[in-house]
Amino acid sequence: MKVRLNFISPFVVGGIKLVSNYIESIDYIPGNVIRAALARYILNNCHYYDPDEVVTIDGIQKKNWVYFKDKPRCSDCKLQTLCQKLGDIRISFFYPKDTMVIPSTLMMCKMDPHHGFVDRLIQQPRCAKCEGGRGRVEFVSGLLKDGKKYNVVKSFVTRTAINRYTGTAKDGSLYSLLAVSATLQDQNTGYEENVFEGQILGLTPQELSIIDELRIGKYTSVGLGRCNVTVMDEKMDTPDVSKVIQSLKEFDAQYKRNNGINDDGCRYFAIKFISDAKLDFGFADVNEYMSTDQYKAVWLKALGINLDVQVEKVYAEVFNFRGYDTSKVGEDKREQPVHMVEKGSVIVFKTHLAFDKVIDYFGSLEGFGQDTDNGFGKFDYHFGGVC
Amino acid sequence: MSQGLINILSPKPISFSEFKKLKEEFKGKIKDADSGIKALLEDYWDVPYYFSDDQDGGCWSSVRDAAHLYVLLNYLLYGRPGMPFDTTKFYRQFFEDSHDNIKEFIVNIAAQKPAKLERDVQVDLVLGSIYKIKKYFLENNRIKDIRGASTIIKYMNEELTRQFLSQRYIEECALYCGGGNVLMLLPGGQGSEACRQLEECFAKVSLTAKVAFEFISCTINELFNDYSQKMRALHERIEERKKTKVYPINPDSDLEEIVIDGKKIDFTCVERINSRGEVCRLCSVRDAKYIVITPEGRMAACPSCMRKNMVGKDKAIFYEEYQRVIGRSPKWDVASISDLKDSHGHVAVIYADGNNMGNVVMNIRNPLQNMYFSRKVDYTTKRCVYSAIHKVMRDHARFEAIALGGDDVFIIVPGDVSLEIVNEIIEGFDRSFNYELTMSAGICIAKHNTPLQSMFQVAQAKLKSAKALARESGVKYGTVDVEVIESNISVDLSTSRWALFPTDSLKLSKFINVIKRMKDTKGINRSQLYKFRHAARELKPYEFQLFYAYQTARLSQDYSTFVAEIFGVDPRRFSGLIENPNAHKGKPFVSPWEDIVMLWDCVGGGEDSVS
Repeated sequence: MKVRLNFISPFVVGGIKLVSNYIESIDYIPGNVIRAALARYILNNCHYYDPDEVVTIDGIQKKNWVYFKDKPRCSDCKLQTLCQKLGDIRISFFYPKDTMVIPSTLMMCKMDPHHGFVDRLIQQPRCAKCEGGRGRVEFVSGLLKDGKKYNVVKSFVTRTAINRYTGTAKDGSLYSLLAVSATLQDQNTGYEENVFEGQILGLTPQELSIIDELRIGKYTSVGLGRCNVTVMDEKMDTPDVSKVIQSLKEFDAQYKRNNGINDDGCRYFAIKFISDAKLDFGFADVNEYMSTDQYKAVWLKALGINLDVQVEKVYAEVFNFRGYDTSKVGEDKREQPVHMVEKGSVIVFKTHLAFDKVIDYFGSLEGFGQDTDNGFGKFDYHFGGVC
Repeated sequence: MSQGLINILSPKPISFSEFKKLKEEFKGKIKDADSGIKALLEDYWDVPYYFSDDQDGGCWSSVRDAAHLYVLLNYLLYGRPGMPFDTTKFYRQFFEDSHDNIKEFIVNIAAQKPAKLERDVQVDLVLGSIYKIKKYFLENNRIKDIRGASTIIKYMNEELTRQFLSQRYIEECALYCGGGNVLMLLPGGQGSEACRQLEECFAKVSLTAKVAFEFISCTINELFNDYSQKMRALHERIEERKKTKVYPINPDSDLEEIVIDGKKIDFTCVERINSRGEVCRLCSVRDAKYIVITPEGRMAACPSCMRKNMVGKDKAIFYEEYQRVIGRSPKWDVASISDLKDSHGHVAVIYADGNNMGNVVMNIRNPLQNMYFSRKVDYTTKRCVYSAIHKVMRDHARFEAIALGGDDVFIIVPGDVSLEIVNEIIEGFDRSFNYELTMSAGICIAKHNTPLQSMFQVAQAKLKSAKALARESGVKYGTVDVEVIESNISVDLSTSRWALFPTDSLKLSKFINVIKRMKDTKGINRSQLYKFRHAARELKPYEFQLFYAYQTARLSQDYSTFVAEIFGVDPRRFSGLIENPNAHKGKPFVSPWEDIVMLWDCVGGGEDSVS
């Protein structure tokens, strides 16, 4: 079901602490952050919550872990089903309302952003709308709204940390947050909204509607990240396979034309990551030279695709990410570092297979890489341009 | 090619008699020089070379570039990789008056005529690029680590590349190396191995800097007669590699030391950590393997951060360069960002680059133009930055340069001199290229404890809007946009909250000048400016205009005179607000007081001046 988060206070999510007194939020909400917020909500309302309780999950000790305790007061707890289902529900990334992820193959005119986009896969890298038809273009990334590049509004919030023993301001502990405060701001009327949308699967609207107010992200104890949760649509759209095949064929023809390929036996199609993906490339500390073709083979292996396809081109941004696991027992809350493929990355495949076979296979995939239950590794077909 | 482009891509012409005199002088210098000819040639990088007194065309190569190319072509035709090659002999031969077909070839190339070598050979054109440099610099907020990263990049780009070439080929194979890019011409069949070795070499030193090398094969005649197309193909290959390449998370190498500019930096003396699983406190991502000593105490660090830290302790390349250009050293040795703060605690990140550079590059037709242009831009940018800092801060110069190469400027200066410095840089750059090329800059002014990464992001966004003004308005001058970060403000980087910014350097000059005069005028009171700003925010336009008329009648008409001068309106008609030229998009008036109040402290002068 489609879910809307209507924020009533700014939020800080996934921000990297650049210096000890300053954190900047990212402009989207990964599924694991929503899951953590749900877990916190359940624990705060649990009759049997014990902050010191340690449970062992898959051989690892965890604290603040949500599991159905099946104790006397559990049977009449309003959060019973949510508690039971939390481990099984699937949560997507949440993005600002009406926005979409820009595919990394899109380029924009350097002279005039209103000239629209050029897709490197199916068009030559020049702006045809500029005088002479040879205007220079540059790659763009981020989010798109109404066909234009989009940014959320961020606000600086300065706070003083509180000394928990004296209840007064902690000495020398002024800290600043760069929080997401609005997704829409009208300068003239002063109207503001901060609305994010995504999907949660495995819960019914009734089960979710029990939550009156969720607190998402960091610094929730000082009022950040408060939001109302509303279900927008219970049913999910199922794509029309024949239409998808038609679009894939059109892309194949355009791609071949643009790249001067005259091989009817081969078909080309592309996917776009609509969320970040945690891929295991199999090397953590080896700095060995590889040719571009060898890297393509590494990509195919990391994606774990078990189909007769080859990686033709990669348009990806990969960064190293090391998150926190606050359920870990002990001082060290850091996770192991992973390769994170940035949302918007595009991969072009080459295959001899018919597109219906491709659709069958790719349709069966939940996503690529690790943590797909939390929305990581989600993808769509990329048909070129803004689609 | 237009005359404007010719002026950018080739040295300023001199008379033939003057050239002959210079040539004789140079021949005298190299008579007894053995291997130092190349260094001597560096002084002649901006002097045109004439092969004859009736040489055609308005586009000449420089003495340095023509001589380099002559030696390189001889090497490609007659030399062999790994074998000794007497470059001195060919330098001398170049300056002899005799003609040969390679000189003829260079003459035709310089004059943009069809050129052909009788004996053509296969060559490999190799392009290397260190990309995402700013991410490598800005993994933490420590100035010495950033400085170390910057030094390592420069070392790899220049020293390491030259070492690589001199050990295997000749140094002249480098058409250019600097500003994060390396372009070299190697004997045929060498490209693949050179790319591999260079990538390995760079990775071994920096560990985490992103590097890609690619090559294309062709003949000399093909390359020189279809240079733009070949470069386009090469750029496409390297772009593909950059987008596909994946880097290890915890890279390490057995490198024990590096020697930068003659100074040895030893990594073996750094204490190692025995335990596993500790996270590097400098980048917060990679696994720590060492302990480095910082002002905050002992810190666990990964191999990459340890190297940056060690190099940054010993080397400050841009201070040395400043001293060479200006003739005196900056007075302050900057140990942390807070050493750069002004009396209000503000620092400014300035991020600037040239406008329309890509267009010029697209018009480059041969390697000679490429060699000259890249050097000219690099030299001009550095000279303008150092001169601007010296002109504004004189003997109190304190700054930190994070990236300064090519047309890229990324520096940190005290907040109260930032506008003046930017203005001087832009004016200097625009003048040097006779306004055929201009520079735009984004400035982010904030408290000294704001992380550099965030300030850089803001400056980057402001540079974008400054560039948009340069493109859309077609102004002849460079442009500037600025953002001041305060506590508890909303930051919407896509729109400007200023009445004046983004603006061009001419208007900025006027703004600085007027603010300085306002600060020196007794009738102007800073608290009144705050009052006007507040009133303009709270009152309706007509209410504010009444309030303003009353206040200025009571206090002084100087307010109107100065503000009208900044915005170029008639002071008699100025009623406290400026008419919005884009009124159809929003409000009919904009408040000038936001700009004046916010930037009051960002312009030196008056009683608040910081020295």
